[in-house]
Amino acid sequence: MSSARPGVTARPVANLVEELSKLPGIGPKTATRLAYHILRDSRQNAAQLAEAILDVKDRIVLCSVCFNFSEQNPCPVCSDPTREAAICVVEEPLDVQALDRTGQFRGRYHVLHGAISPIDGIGPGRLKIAELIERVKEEKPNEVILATNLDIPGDATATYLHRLLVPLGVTVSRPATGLPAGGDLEYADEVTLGRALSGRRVL
Amino acid sequence: MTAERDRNYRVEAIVLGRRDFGETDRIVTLFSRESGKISVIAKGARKPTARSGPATEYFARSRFMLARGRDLDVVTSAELLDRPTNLESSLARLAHASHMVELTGKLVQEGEVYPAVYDLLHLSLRHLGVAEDDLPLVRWFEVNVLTAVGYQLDFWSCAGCQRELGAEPNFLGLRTGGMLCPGCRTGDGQAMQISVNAQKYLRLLSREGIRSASSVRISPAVASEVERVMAAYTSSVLERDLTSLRVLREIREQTGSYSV
Repeated sequence: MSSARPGVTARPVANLVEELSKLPGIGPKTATRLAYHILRDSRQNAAQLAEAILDVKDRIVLCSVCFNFSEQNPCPVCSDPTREAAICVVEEPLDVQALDRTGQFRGRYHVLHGAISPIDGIGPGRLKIAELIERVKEEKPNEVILATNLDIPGDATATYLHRLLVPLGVTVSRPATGLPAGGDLEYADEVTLGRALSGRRVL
Repeated sequence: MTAERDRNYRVEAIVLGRRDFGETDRIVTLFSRESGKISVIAKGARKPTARSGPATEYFARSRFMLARGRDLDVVTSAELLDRPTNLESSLARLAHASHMVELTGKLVQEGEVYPAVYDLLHLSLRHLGVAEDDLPLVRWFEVNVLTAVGYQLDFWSCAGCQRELGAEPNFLGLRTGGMLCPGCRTGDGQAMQISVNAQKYLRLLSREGIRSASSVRISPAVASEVERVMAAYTSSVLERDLTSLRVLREIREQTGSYSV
């Protein structure tokens, strides 16, 4: 529900508040604050914002290979011949950015657009799983890294994919889990600490 | 001092659902023994360094310290007590756990307390994956949770004429909300026929404890019939279908198996 009531607030402002509050993580108060900021700002800045929003809708497509958002199809990563023959599977496009920033992976990506979560109504058919299997059969990568989230839907998706991928003769791996860099051991939760211990390595 | 104590309270709760909020926060639906169903906000729970992360995971049973907020109460500390094991290894088991928490979440009302339902859910989640087959446990949970919130089905007598049901195919009257004998079924336009064996199994589920109900072996035909009957009854009670059951059916169709 919008906090800008029609009658008290001019209709165009109320409309803007309503549209902004549809965005994830934006409540009615933040939407009102943003709407008044846009109202006070220059027309040029408002036009740039509107143009940028329309631009992403008009110019961004899903890459038909990895299903990441891109300006071209196939995306620059999928069409880069210097990339290694490994596929890193992630849940969302934002995960690609996070992983690529590490500089530790020079292969390609595959975006599932979610994780299997029956309680949220998401089964395997809603994700880009069939496309991944076809891609692995065709590209024959030397490794598939299952970098889904470390929660129950992410782990269940990784286990399910592992079962589908192993018969294809590809090496399937999962990123190591454990303690965060810079964290104190005594403040780690028991699940993370347990995983860190079971995944320990010999020095 | 008293006001300070009133602002903060402690609950033991099972996580029924969660959704991302803002940059790193999470809105978590809890089902607690002390306060029933409540929605709370766990600030920063999505950060990898958050201690509250595992405690706010789906199906986790955790101890929460909460501070009363204007809209939502805020998690100030959370400690994981236990969670069902090996859910990740079987999609069917994950769907069964999801079904149990979804059903609980839809049957209970905010502002009401249901200690018996809480104990039932806790016990059932703990037993998931212990027996060779999860299906008897799930059916046992359905029959008993419906009873605990007041939708008990009497599998022994007809809801129409009140006579004892004979050893013959009888009916579940979805409009009546009870079992019907062949003579009374015509009064209910949404009556589902139930075989003799399925009726025997449903009686057993409503009478026996979790251990003996879980250990009974039934034919796939009876298992499938009882699942259909219970799904129809819960949909009729809730006036909507359950999402996790739909996904469970999709998983079975895709994998061609009941236990993937």
